[in-house]
Amino acid sequence: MDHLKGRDSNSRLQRSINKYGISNFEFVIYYWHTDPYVNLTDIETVVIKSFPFENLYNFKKEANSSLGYKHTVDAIHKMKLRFKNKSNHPMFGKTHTSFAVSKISKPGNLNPMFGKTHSINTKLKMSLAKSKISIGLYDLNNNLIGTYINQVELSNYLNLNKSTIGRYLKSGKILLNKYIIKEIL
Amino acid sequence: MIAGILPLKIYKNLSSPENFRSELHRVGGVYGLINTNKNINQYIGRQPLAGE
Repeated sequence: MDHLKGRDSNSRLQRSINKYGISNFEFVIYYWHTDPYVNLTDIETVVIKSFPFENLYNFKKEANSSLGYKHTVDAIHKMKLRFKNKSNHPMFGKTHTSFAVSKISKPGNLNPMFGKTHSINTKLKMSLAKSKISIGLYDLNNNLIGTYINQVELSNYLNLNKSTIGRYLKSGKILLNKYIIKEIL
Repeated sequence: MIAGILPLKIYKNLSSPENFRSELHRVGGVYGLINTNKNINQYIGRQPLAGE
């Protein structure tokens, strides 16, 4: 309720108050919190959802969640900068207690992936997202034969174990008497 | 009035907010701050009970 004082408030609302003046605003009560067993946040969400979201200054469609909120490019940049130094992360050097872990854990059918499997396309997308460096397969004359998104893809192509590829990539030795494996930066 | 939930109480004069502020702080609830000028936009907020 500090909106009228202009502190700890919603920036869209404050800009609108500054532009139109407080005399153009009305204060309405939608719900009196008379029942202590009722979750006030849930009621707020119900009220928010009863109005078209484009007519609200609220950033979020749910009172206690970030659903519907899109961070600005500036905000994303600030967050990235902040966490470049890992010690800035609130969980840096800490571990969750077993109680916290039990609260976070979603075993069995509580897990959203329970009983489901990822499609081949999804697996490929995840693999691409995780692969930081591509692998190049060269012949003994240093001609590029092919590029692969990661060691697993190359191991499948050559029908070898992925750790064999990793070993030869690290050592730079000749593989199968005809190949050299290198990272492609 | 805008579509949605009908308000239980309306305060039109916000130049002296002490009345509704103390009332809302005493009970708590969900409120709206409505801009009657610009396409009737509003902000929905909640005031929990003290200590809640």
